[in-house]
Amino acid sequence: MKKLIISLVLLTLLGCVRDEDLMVEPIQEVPEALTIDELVGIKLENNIVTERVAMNVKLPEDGVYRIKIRHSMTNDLISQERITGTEGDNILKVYVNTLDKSGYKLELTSEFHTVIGRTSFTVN
Amino acid sequence: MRKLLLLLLLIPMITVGQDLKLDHSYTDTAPFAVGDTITVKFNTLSDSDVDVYFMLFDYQYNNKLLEKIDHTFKLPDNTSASKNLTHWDGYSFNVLTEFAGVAQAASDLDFQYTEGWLNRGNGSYSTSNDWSVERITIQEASTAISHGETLLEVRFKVKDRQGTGYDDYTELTRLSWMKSTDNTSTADNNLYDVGVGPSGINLNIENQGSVTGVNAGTVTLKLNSEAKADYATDFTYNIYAADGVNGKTGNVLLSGNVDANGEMIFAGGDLTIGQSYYLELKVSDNAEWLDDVITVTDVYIIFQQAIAASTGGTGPGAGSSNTFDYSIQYLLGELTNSGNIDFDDSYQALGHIQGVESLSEWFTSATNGSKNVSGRIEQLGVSTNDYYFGQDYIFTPTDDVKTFDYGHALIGDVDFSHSYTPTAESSALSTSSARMSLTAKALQTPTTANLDITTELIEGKVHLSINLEEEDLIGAQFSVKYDDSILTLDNAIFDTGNEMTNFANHREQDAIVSVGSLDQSAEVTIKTGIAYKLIFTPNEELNNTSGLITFSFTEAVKQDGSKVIFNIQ
Repeated sequence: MKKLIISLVLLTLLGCVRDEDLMVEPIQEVPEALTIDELVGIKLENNIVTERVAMNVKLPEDGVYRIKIRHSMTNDLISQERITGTEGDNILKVYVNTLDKSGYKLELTSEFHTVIGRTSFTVN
Repeated sequence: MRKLLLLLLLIPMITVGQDLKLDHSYTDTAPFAVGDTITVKFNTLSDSDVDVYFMLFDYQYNNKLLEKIDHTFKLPDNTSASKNLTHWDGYSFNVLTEFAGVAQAASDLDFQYTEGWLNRGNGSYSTSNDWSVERITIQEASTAISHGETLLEVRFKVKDRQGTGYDDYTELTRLSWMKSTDNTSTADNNLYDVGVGPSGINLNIENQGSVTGVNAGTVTLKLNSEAKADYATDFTYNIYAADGVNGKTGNVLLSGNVDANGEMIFAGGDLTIGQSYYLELKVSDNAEWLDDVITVTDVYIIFQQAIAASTGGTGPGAGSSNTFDYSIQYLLGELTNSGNIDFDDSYQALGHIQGVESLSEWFTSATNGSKNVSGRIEQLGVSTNDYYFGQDYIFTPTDDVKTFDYGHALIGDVDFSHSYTPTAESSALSTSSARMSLTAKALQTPTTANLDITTELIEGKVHLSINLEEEDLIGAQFSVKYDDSILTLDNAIFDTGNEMTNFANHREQDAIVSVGSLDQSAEVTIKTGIAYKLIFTPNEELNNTSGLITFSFTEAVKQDGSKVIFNIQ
């Protein structure tokens, strides 16, 4: 009897909890082309770009990071973005209208410039 | 021994006692040009008017320099004479210079016949691709062959000597030997003594002026400019025929772009030895970097010169009449074309980096196009009556000199960041004072300082922040390019200190924004930290900003004129 009473009380309590309190955090849907098998990294949907391209920035933890575009020959920093990202996959974009037709490096670094991932692309 | 002494004694007598001379000369008017036809005539001369009934002689011509057209026997006084010409290509006569221990002259033509050829065996001629040999035989039966009359005329076309290995046209032909006899016998023991006529043993067609029209072969003109490293192919050239000391005439002969190495290389056939040319060297008006030529450093230097030139100035130049290191800076800093450097020039320069419209048309900018100064580096920067600020445009290829260095500068570029710093003797001003070190400092290797420029999405807007760490900057300039298909510039925010003069130049048509500061009196410096912020509104929803704004140009200057190049981390 005692057990029955406890079960009824629990059911009553659970029945009063709002639906949204039980919702699971939505999982970022990652297209196959942007899947990163490693724990961290940066990946582009295409490496030959004409206007804009999707990228996945996979982060080790929530925090502030930098995405840098460097000239592939001189290594000069051409563009730099500061992002606040979440742990895991972050689907973002790279815009290339302001870039000359050339080759570039794309770097993911910590806020304090430690390189976490690196890839390259060509603006066609 | 007696024979030898006798021979030595007889040589001078033989030399002065020649019976006749063989002469050959050109009949056309010199000087000649490549492609001209020259006519070479052969005749004999004789002071004693000896009777010659038989003659046989060899001459040779340089087939690299001459192309034979034809030949004609003349002999107007001996129309019945038998005559013949035989031709061989690829041989050259070896003059016998010593015989029986005695030196022999090439001009002793009968000796060269007997001992140099007839009795010499196979040593008389050797193969030589450069020479062709012709042997002439003339025999008269009843009337002696007249001296002075033209025996033979041979016509040649003057060939271009470029690439032949010959530096001139001073030895086109050579008389080799001659046999001549009277009417008693043609035996070799009945020879007249034969020497060489007044025109010499060789035919020299440059004795009345050099042959013109000779292809110069490969000629190289070298561009010297700081802008060459990044923008060599933006330079263009026009070549004209020179006129006078430093002028040009006629239409453009050659034109094009400087190559990626900063050179203009002309192959065979383009230019001619000994001819003077005028080189016009420019930067294309379409070059995208013309607005970056005048920067805060140039503005600062021009301001200091204006202060120095004025009375009562308070800047570092006060009390001096000059802050420039090179006289050509008076030309490069002359933005108003008024004839001197004053505050009008400095305000034009400042107006340029601030994006003011309707400025002077006399300095380099995207609006005005390139305003060019150029000349041979041996002269550039040293004015003379012939060369304004040493702009010597002329070059003349010769056999020895086929490479020429040209310096180039742009009006407005007083710190030579996109120009050639003069190196000619006396191009630097000798009345330097301590103030002069502004340019020298600007020309030194710049200091490198860290700089943090980032874009960030904040509350739906794109913020560009420029975070300065370097202290003691009296001027700074930053240019960025943005994607105007997505972004619209909203605002520029400065936090450089209360007394600093700031500017934001928005070239909307190019989607470029330049921001910066300059205290022309060099009394205050730019505050460190986030000194500049640009705020853009996107026309679509964004999740991030990568690539929307790119950094195209940064520069800063300190009070002493030294430049600071930023290392964007």
